[in-house]
Amino acid sequence: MNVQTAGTQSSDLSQYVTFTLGNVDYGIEILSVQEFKGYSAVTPIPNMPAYVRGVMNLRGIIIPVFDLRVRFGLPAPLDELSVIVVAVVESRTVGLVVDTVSDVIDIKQSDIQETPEFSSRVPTAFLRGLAKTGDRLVILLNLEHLVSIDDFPAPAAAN
Amino acid sequence: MNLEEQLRELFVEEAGDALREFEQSLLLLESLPDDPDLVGKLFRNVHTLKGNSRILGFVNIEHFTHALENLLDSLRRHELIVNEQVADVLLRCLDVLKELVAEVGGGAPHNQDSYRAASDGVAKVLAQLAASEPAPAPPVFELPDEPTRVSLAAQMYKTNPRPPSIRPPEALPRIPSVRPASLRPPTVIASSAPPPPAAGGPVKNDVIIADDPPPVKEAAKASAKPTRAKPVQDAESNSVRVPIDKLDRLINLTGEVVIAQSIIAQLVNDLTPDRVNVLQEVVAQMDRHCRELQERMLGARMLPLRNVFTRFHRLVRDLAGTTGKSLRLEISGEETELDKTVIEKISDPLTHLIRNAVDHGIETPAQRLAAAKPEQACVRLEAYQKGGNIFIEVSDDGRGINRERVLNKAIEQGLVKAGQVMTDEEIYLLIFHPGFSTADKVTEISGRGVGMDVVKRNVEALKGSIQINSEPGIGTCFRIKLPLTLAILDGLGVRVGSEVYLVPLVSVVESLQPKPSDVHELPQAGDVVDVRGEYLPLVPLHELFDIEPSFESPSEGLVMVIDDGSQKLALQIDELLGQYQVVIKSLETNFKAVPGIAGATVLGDGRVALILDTGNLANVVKNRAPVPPAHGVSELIAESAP
Repeated sequence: MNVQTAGTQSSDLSQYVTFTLGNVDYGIEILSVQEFKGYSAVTPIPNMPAYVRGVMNLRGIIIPVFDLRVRFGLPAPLDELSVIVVAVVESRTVGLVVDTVSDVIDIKQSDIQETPEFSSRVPTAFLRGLAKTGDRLVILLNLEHLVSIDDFPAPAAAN
Repeated sequence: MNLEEQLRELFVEEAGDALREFEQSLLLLESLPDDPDLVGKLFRNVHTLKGNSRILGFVNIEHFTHALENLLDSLRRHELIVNEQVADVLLRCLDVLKELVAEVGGGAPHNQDSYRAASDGVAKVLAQLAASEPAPAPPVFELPDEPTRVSLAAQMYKTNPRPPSIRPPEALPRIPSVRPASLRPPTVIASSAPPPPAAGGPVKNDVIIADDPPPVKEAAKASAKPTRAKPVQDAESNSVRVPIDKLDRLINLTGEVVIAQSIIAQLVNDLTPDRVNVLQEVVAQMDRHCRELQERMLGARMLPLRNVFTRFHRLVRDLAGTTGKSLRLEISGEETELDKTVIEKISDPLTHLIRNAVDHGIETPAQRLAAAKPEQACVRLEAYQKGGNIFIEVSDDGRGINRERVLNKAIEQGLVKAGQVMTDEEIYLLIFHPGFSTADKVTEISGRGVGMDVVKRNVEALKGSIQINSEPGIGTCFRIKLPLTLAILDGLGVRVGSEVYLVPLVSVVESLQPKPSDVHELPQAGDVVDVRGEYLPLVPLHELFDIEPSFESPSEGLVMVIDDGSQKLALQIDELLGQYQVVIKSLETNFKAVPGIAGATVLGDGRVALILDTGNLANVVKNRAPVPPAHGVSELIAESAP
């Protein structure tokens, strides 16, 4: 409730949950986050791209678990400290594996800088923009695109 | 959903119930034309519909039901007896009302011709009645049994000095001497009686809605826009009405579970060795509650077959009309409960089976008499539960399936080879083959060879099976076997490497460990396994799903023979874990459909196991790309960013 009132009071300010992958901070909108869970074993789904870790049982519903490290091409040393961020994206509940969840921060809309053009291999559609808070740079993610199932490349096409 | 849409949805739902009840009463009334309760029910149903449609401004329905009420009123006053003509008119009116209600619910606009035909029918019956009315009315008091009548009148005066015309008509029929069929209660008395239907059903609705009258004009306006109400229909088929006592029991049980849980929480907080016994006891109790809760929760999805079964009275009546055969439908076990989704999908196959029984199974009246059978043929519809399955039987006392004729036709169409040895059962099953029909000519009812194919497909889609028994000259029985619910699956757990998969039990044929010499390699086509002389394609699950197996060779692991409906496959697995009864959960809700996987389930230890889609595995094998799945795209965002 606080989140919502804060949002309506100053439409300029939104809250983001930040987490790290490697040594980089990423942020996703707090309203799409449902809960955090410690990493537990998932059941792999056959013939899926490697960033689809599998499915897990979240209190009786089956949700897919995406590994953002693999999605961003990082080596994937899963350890006990890995966290699953459970988010609701376009009415689907999904799990996202991240290294650590760090903070909840307020970001002014005007502080968000559009994503500069990277090389063509970088799917800028995943990114909502860049934001600077203090001395940290946070990459804001566009979850809709990141876990959009139509965007999954076929296993062979990913090569 | 706004108020108007809610009201409309409620209206469609209630109207559906009222019309179903109307149809049932009407069909019963044909065999019991004197039953005043049934006529009363008809009247109440139509009156409810009229009241509701007036409130919501569905003018068409209101006018139509009003005209229909006039007809029903004369039935109620015994001025009219339900004969075939009247029943036909009423059934036609029912069809029109169904169309009108469907239109309100966002369906196709009603058929104007049938609307007019039905209103004309009602008007005609009423006109006939009016023409014959004045004549028979006066002689009522001049019947030959004058003495009884006089004494009756005298009696009435004695007990009640008021003139008889004020007494409600119910007082008359109770006295036996007034009962003769030729005698009608005098019109004067009946018309002075207060209209009883005002009490009962409609009142409830009036009260509910009167508190908050909806904008009638807007509702009427909105009904002109057909696109808007589309979701109403979907919403209706996605909802279940649960009887309040079932719900109460569920609430009670949930309470029990909560209590047990809090006792456990207390015990665990402060656990001493001497209290372990208590803990075990409470856990056992909780276990029982949870089981019952699960069972009853699934029971909430269950509906009796009654609604599906009773609508076949109409079908059989119509079929009797078109075929000229004399038919009777016997129904038993209609209280048997089935999962809502199964109920919705079983109606079509049953319709086809009944049509088939009437058209092919049952002889013409002349043939029946010649075979020393009663002229009226009987179609039986029976449902019962046995173990974890529901059986529905459609049987007839007709001529039975002509084994030779089916076989010859099958040989003619190239389905079987001449000289092939087949059991009766196998031959009968040929009639389910698409395009197969023994009918020499295509009739309106059947003969295209489509119906039986639909039956088999639908039943199989419901994870059921079908069996045929037939005796020449005595009759045929189709027995459909269905699982109690689609939400629960009987499966065999298999292990491949570190993964567990479930194979639906219905498609498992056998499991075996082949000898190394039974496995043969076909160049470019994979391996085949020799299972007692039958060569089956070997499907190594670990290769298909890219898993590290415990055993590379099928002769070290196991082979599970499955039948996917069109062919047999030999799945290579590592170990057979045993039989599980699991709750099916969809992968599509939060993810997407995965080829070869029908869904997922949670095992007893909390792990998720995938359920194999046996019907689709062969396709997955065919479409499988030879390249192993690659890893995710290498992107440098993380490293390149500061």
